[in-house]
Amino acid sequence: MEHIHFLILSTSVFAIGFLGIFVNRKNIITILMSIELMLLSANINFVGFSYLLDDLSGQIFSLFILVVAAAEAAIGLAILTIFFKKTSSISIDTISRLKG
Amino acid sequence: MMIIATIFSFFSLVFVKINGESAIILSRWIDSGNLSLDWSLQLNILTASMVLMVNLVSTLIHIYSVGYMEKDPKKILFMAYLSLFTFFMLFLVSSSNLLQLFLGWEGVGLTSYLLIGFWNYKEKANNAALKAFIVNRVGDAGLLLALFTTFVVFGTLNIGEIKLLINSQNESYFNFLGFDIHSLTLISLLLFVGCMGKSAQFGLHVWLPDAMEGPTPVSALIHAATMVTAGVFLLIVMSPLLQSSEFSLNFILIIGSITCIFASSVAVFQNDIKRIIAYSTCSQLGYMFMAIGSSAYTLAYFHLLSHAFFKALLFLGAGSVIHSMSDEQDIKKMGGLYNKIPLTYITMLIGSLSLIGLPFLSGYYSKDLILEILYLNDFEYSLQFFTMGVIGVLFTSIYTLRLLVYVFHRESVADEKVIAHIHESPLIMILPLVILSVFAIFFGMFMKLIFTEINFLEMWSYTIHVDKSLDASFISQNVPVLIKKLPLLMILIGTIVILFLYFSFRNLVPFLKLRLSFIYNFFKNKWYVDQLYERIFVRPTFYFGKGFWKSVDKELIDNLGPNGFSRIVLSFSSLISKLQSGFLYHYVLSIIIGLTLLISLYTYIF
Amino acid sequence: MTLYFFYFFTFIVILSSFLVIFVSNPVHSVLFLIFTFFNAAIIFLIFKAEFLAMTLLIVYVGAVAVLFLFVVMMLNISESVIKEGFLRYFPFGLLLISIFLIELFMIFNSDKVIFPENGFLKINEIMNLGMDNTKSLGLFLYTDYFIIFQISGFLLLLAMIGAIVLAHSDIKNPKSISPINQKNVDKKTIIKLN
Repeated sequence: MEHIHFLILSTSVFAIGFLGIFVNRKNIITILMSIELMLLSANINFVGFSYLLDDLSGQIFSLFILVVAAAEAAIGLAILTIFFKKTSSISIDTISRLKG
Repeated sequence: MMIIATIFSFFSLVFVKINGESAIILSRWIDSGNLSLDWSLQLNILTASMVLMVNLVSTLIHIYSVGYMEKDPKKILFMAYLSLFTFFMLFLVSSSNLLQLFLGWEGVGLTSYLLIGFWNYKEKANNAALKAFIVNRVGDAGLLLALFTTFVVFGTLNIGEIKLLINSQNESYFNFLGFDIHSLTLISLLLFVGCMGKSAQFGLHVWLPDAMEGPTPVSALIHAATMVTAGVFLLIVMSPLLQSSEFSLNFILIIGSITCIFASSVAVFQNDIKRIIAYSTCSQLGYMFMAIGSSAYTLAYFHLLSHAFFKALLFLGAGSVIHSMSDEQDIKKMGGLYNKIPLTYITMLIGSLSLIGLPFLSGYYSKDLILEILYLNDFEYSLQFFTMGVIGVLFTSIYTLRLLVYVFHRESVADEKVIAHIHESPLIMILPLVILSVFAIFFGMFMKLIFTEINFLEMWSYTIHVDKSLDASFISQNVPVLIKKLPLLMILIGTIVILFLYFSFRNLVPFLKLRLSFIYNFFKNKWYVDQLYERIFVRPTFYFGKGFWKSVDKELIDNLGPNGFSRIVLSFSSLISKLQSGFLYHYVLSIIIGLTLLISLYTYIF
Repeated sequence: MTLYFFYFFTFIVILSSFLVIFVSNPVHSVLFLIFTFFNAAIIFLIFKAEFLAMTLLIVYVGAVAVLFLFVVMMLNISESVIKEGFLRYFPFGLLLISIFLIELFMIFNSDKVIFPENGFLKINEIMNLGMDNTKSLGLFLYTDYFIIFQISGFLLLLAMIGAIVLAHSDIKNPKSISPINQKNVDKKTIIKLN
């Protein structure tokens, strides 16, 4: 198995995640899920290279990425619920507090 | 504190006498490329005696100021400034390199500015301070250029090293705009420009009379005894350099004699007691420069010292008079004071007579020697210069006696109120006067030997250039009796004129004033020098500055600079802030675009 | 054989992740996410990372995805609103992403990608010592990577506290009894049951 195989997989998943963030404007949940996809692509990369290079550290790092992803999901969803409580919508079109 | 300093400086003079020349290096100052300078104290006969003089005079004036400034609310500040001045003056005098000297030079300029404008509620004082500062700037620019040139030519600013190197640089020339300029002449001329500014020589003298707006002790200390003589001192220190340039010596002689004549003639027509003395200072400085111009450095220094004593005495006496007249400075409103303030009168009389050069007072020895040297000089026009000096003596005697007559002898014309208030100054003011008058009487008599005797000249010659022809015996052999007595004759004429005009034919004065109004006004208005400067320099500069302020500063620089920048920043940031939409997907979009560009950069360029 | 398996599951992962962002119903979207992770776990198995595959299943499918599902159901969002403007932005997004992808693939195909000769922790050597994947991971996680491991533990704790603080709301008149009030009860005011 060559590196190109899992690289294509991971970049595709990453790109789809990116696309999901860009295209979805009314749904924060999908955006969160897109982020999960992007993190998954990173994981695939790590594990793939770990297999390819015969090195265990890739797997260890991907474990840490799992931790970060879980934490991120928890916080993100918590923020989402408050946000929904306040605005009763999950559209990011309505959030532009950072506007300069 | 000052008294202790004076005692110590006396010891240092004795030390120099025993141990000879030495330089005490305090610490390294600048070490950059070829330039290496130390903070140091130069100890030789010249600096040690100058330090003694400065310390002595400023101690007396400090004491005097305690009495004079007693009722002033800012007297603590005043004393602080005065001490700061003394510090800078000592700094200047005792430096062993030109840059440290320049620092002291600027320091005394600064304190002079502060002290002239000390009574800053008076508009005139502020203007005078500003004028002094600006005119001094012209001279300082000259001095600074002299420093630069010195460094370029000699590669060092250490005075001792420069003296050693003078002979090797005698043939060096500067190429400036295609002209070959003898570098030593250039340096000495530039030095002299600096000295002109500080020592109020003709051309840059305009600040000195105006500087009398300051408190009288300041006038005595800074504008008579010490600071204004700094220029003379500098030239004496650099005498070997000057000696190598005939042209600059002649130039100094010319300027000195013009100043001498000019200032003394103007002094005759002034009414402000301090202005008269200020112009007299100016003319005495002219004598010193004349002495320098004719290579008689020791005599210039001799006159410097004796002048410091009697001029400080005169100023302090004038201060005492002003004090007792309730701050009146116009001599026309004084009169008949001789029996009301006898001590001040006596000391003023001693000072005046010393200034005139009455025999056996200190002014007599120093000034007459200068005149004799002028006569002996082998310049082409030495006789003419001598004549100018003698005319200067005539004017000096006239204005000094006029001052005395107006202030002390005429019947009083002051207000009843003022007259009732006339009182002798307190002891603390009289004491310095008495001490100074002792110096004014005896200094010349005792010190004459040191400056003229051949054995002593030997001693001076380690430090400064000494012409062997300055020996007293040589002078006395070569000067005819008539010439020797000519100054005395002039004094006599002046005395007669004054007595004639002010006692016998008092009506003649207004008559002459009317008849010769043109001449009167010419002198009264100080040869119209101020007006000329006003026309030539001040007004064009003012208009020029106004124009520049409006067109260049306000329009161009402000618009491009601060205002322009702030405007650009504002508009740019508002532009940038439009990018900050606050919508998440916009940010994501920009991330993608940036990432894509980066990758394409990586792909195609690297 | 493994390669074909890999191709197959890759295809499924890409497809299902596409569907995650495409489907209009958020519940379906979460379900597709679970499916994606499931297949990713199988790919991990192909890469001989058994422990990670199982962790992925437990953490994502078991916890995170269920959390998502929970939230989605709790919020009760109407479908029509969610898909608004999707088609408008999709072509542009696809264009950008495809440029991005093409560039990346060009790099992958070129010989500019250089790999190190040998790894840091040799899996084969570890395997030869008679350790399986989980055991070797544990060995290194608790020794060489101990500090990072601890930090990630703290990170999880932080996330937990953060989530609680964010989602917690002060409810007026709670039904539960305040423990402070409970402690401050004294003998006189207490209600007696006879």
